[in-house]
Amino acid sequence: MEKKFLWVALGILAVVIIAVGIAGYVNRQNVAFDGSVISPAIEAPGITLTGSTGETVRLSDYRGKVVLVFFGYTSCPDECPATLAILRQVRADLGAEAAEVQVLLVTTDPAQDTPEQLANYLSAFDPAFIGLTGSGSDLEAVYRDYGVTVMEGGETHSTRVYVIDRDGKLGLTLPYGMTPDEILHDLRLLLGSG
Amino acid sequence: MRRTIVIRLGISLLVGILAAGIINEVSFRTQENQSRPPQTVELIIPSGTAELVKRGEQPPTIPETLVFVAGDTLVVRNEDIVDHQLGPLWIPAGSEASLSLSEVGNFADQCSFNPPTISTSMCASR
Repeated sequence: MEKKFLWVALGILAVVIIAVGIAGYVNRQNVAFDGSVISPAIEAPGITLTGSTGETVRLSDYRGKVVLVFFGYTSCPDECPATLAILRQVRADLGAEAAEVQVLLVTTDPAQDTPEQLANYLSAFDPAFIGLTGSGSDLEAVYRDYGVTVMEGGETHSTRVYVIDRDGKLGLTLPYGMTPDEILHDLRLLLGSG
Repeated sequence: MRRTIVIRLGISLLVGILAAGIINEVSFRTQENQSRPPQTVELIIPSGTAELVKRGEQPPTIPETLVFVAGDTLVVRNEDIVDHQLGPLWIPAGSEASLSLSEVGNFADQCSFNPPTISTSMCASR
């Protein structure tokens, strides 16, 4: 009788533990992306600018990869280095899958951010990051297409990261302040490994 | 002796589970700042909003301050012909953007409805 009672108690405990585990898993699945989802996803506006490599870089060059586009400038004291440090962390956590993710920094201060300056700056974060600059009119077109407002000195309040999937669709943005784990979760979903 | 220990362990286990459940439920229901349960908050940016903004008028459907509780999901549908941004959200024309506000915090960012200096303040609290 007593043994039966114990087994019933253990059974109840097991059911509770399993139920809590399933509830947590289901809840996580329902949340899906932690970033801001755009629905329906739009065709990512084209970008053709001069890369920190010195060569012309087109967004379409990265078709097949997940591209993270961020707007900022190399003398930015706060959001830009914070965001780039997080993206470096995320790429490190991705391991081998990092090769499937390309980070592009579009400068908002072309007067200061030459290709060389961008290359030096970004190499301190991750040598795989690519900076983009160009003429005022070329950059203005990109800012407009991505809804980025650039103020005097390159400062911008558009601190989100635009996430473009392997097919060139823009269906996700990452608001400033997301943690590396949250970004990692979203990227793994896009890469098909989440 | 052994049976007694087994019985006491079993009873302790059940009492522990029951107590944990009660404490969890009571603490959840007595959170002082929980004004309402989390929900989906939908906003629509109507067609013609950009024109209103150009004329210096505030679109009537967009409040200057948005307050949420942690767990809310914000969905903003842009029915205008130009892209808009609302706090951390960028909403291309004809699309909707959604964001799960799972964390407590402020989301002060630029907003295309109140240019150039006023920001829409978004706040999520427990």
